Amino acid sequence: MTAATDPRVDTRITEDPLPPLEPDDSRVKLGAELLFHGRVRDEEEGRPIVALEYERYEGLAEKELERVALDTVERFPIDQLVCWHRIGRVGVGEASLRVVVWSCHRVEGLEAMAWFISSLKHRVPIWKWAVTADGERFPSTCGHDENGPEGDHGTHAH
Amino acid sequence: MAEMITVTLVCFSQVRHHIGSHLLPIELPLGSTAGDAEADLRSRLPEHVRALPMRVAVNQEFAERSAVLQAGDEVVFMPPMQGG
Repeated sequence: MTAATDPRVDTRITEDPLPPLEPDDSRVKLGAELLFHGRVRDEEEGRPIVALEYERYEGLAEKELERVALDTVERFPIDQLVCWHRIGRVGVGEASLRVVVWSCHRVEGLEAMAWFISSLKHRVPIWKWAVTADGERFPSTCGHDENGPEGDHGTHAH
Repeated sequence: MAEMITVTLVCFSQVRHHIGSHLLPIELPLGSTAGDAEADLRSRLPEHVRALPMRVAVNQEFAERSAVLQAGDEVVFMPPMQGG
């Protein structure tokens, strides 16, 4: 887990389940609060699964996640970005990723959210292993190379 | 005979699956680059994994393949990332 030094970003990588998001009514100048949860689907590469196990390159993953968040707040006029990413075993239906973006208006927030998530998927050294009901564990083969948000999958996006 | 150094490859995802271990110490001649370590690693991998694009990191920071390695370095060849 790492705490960002720029108050505009809060990035963490944690083995713990994501806590409930507490309502915050104090941001009186910010009209848009966007919340994204990435959740584990019940299949991977067409096979039914019971969980994903996320692994990360400890040290670099934390640094790069923070850098992606900082790049986002530099690129888009948003007020704050929070991103927590779980690692370890995450059961089907559970959230592996939470991103919250606050901005004055919705447009910049929506654009920042999309760009941040796509950049995270391409840049942060995190990988996932699928776990089946009979205990088999296999590495996912579906990944994102370094071409960045503009070079995403041609036929599908996730 | 060339002086040798030992570096540790840290393996993830499909690389880890096929190497069968998270850590793989390898010996290289003094003055070897990350690219030399990559050639060693890829020679141990099946064709479909060898063909993956991989980013390079040395000691927890992204690096170029031309980076000259030192004894004890931690070197990672990262298959396409899968966070989210």
